[in-house]
Amino acid sequence: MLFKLSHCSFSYHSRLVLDDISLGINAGETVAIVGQSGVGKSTLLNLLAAQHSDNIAYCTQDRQLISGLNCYNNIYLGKLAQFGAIKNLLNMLRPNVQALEEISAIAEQLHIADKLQASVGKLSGGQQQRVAVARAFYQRRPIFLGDEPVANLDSVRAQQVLQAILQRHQTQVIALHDRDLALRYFDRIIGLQQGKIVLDAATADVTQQDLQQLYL
Amino acid sequence: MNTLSSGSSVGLKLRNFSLLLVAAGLLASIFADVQIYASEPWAHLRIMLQGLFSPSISDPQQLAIDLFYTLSFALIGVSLAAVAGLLLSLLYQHPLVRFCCAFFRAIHELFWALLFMQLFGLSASTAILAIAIPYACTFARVFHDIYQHAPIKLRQLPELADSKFSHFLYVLLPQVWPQMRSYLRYRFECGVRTSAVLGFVGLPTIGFHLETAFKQGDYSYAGALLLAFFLLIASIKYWLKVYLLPVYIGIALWFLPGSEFTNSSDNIWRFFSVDIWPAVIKTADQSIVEKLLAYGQWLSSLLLQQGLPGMGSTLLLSLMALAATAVLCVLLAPLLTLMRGQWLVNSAGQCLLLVMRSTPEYILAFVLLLLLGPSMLPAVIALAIHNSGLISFLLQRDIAAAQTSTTASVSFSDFLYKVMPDLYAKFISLLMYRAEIILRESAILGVLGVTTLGFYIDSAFEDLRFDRALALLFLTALLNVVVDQLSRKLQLCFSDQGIRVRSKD
Repeated sequence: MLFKLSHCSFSYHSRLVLDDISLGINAGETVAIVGQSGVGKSTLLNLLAAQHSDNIAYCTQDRQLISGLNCYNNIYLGKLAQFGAIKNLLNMLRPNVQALEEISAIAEQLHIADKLQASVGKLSGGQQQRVAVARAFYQRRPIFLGDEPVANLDSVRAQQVLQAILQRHQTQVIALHDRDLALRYFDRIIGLQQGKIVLDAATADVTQQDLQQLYL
Repeated sequence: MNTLSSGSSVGLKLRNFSLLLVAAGLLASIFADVQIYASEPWAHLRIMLQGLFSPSISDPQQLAIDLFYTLSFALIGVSLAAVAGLLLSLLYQHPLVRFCCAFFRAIHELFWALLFMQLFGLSASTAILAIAIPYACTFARVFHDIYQHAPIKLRQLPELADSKFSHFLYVLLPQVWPQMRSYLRYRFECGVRTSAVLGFVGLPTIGFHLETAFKQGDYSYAGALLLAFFLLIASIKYWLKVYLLPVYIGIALWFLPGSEFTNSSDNIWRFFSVDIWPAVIKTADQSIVEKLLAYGQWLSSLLLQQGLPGMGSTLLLSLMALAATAVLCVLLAPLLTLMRGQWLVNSAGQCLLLVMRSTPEYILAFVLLLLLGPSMLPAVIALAIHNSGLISFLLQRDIAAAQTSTTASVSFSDFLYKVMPDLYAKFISLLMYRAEIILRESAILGVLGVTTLGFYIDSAFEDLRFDRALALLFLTALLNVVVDQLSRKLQLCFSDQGIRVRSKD
């Protein structure tokens, strides 16, 4: 089993965010985590991220883009720790040929190829979101964790990006609020309510109504 | 009700602290010599002001050279310091680096100049090193402080923690560069002031001729020099650009005076191995224990005769100056706020603040000493004028930022009820931050004749008693480090009152 939580609780500023969670996720699964905002989705992802940090590409909700860098370097950051200091310094002065090629291909897939030289501060929310996803792609990890990675995209773009995420990773655990996307693209859906898991089933057994219950 | 009472207790704590500070200042003035010794200070002041306000330049070429050297020393010194400070800031986690920075920073630029003068004479190297060393240590701490406040920590890439340099280059630097740039700009302005003051110990900057002009009573020339100096400082923001820096540094290096004073490495070695140690431990047939004992005796008698009296007056002067700064700020703040409506009055106020904060306290103290005679009073006034000018300037920026919506003038009750409550914690923060700097300056003003630590250090250098000079310098630095730590502790006590706490040394 890839991820395993048993009877896990988590408090933040003396507020109980996760309440006695037990959960197992196998390699190769495609899992959606749904629920109202503030219900503990991000905390759950953080707990999972801590379990396999070496094999995970983690796309957090706040995107963590560095405002003073252009898009290319923000994506390059994904592999920063794998390269030596000299290579990174040179890349800052002039993009590394190999990295540029690889990053251009990723940017092409996410439709931000024309923005690589732009400063991230100048991009729209949706474009910034795709830069964050591109950074995760560039890491080339088998597991993708995403916290609302397509929340700011229109529905066509959101589907394109989500397909790209699914195609590039073996295992995905993604928090999202779009119920249609959850039902359409994921094998398994975990529903959270008030810090507890109230739904955990294969997508085939889940209906729109079941999901609507979570948002009441 | 609850918030009201807690709100007023916050105010009370700050009020009590302020009153205590002023009381301590007044108490200190009982023990200190704050007499006016000059017989006719007002008449002298009138003549001086007449001269200062009718500036005339007898030797424009000399003035240009003075300004050029002043700028060049500042430019090269601050640039070197910035590079060294940047490297040190990356190692600032290390306790040894932190301590060395705190210690070297605690020694004033003028003291460094007096020290390097023994090694390199009155040369460009002396001036540049005297600026670069303490500034590098200040940069290290401030840059480190700035890194701590970088908004994005990139927690989803934990493996980055191992590649420190890359992390700095890609994550920290791009985020904090704007802040670092504005701090560098501010320090450059400080560097120009320091460079000017270095003239007072003989280095070829504008301070050298300023001192001569004042001493000879040539106030018109002094006025011209000061005017040129203010214009230089006011113009910095128009020409100081990062991309032009290499050009400026190149020009400065090319035209700087070559040093005629060349010191052999033997002399430098002798300075460290022989000159700085007292004669009592230099007898040949002494064991280590005897040497230590003799050194201890020598040190304790030096402490009793010079160290403790010097420390006492340094602390007295600092306390008085701090209290006077606080009072002056409190008087200035409402004036500056009320003036905001009227354009003309406001501009005049801005000019006044610019002059107050651009005039180095050392030059102010020197001029006031000429007017009032040799007591602590000139030093107190000089420190209070310079520091309150600086604090008021910073506070006033905040007032302006808070009032962007209402450009209309502010009434006195607005000031009391709206501006003051928001600003007071910030004011006390700034005051605590300046406390360390006031102490540094109090020590250095001894070079002018006030009997603070600087007086004893300067005398020791004059008598070529480098053993004493170094021991006293060490003591001065230590005192500064201790006071700095205390002021940090105080900041911590008041942190829930909104006082900013600086990072640990």
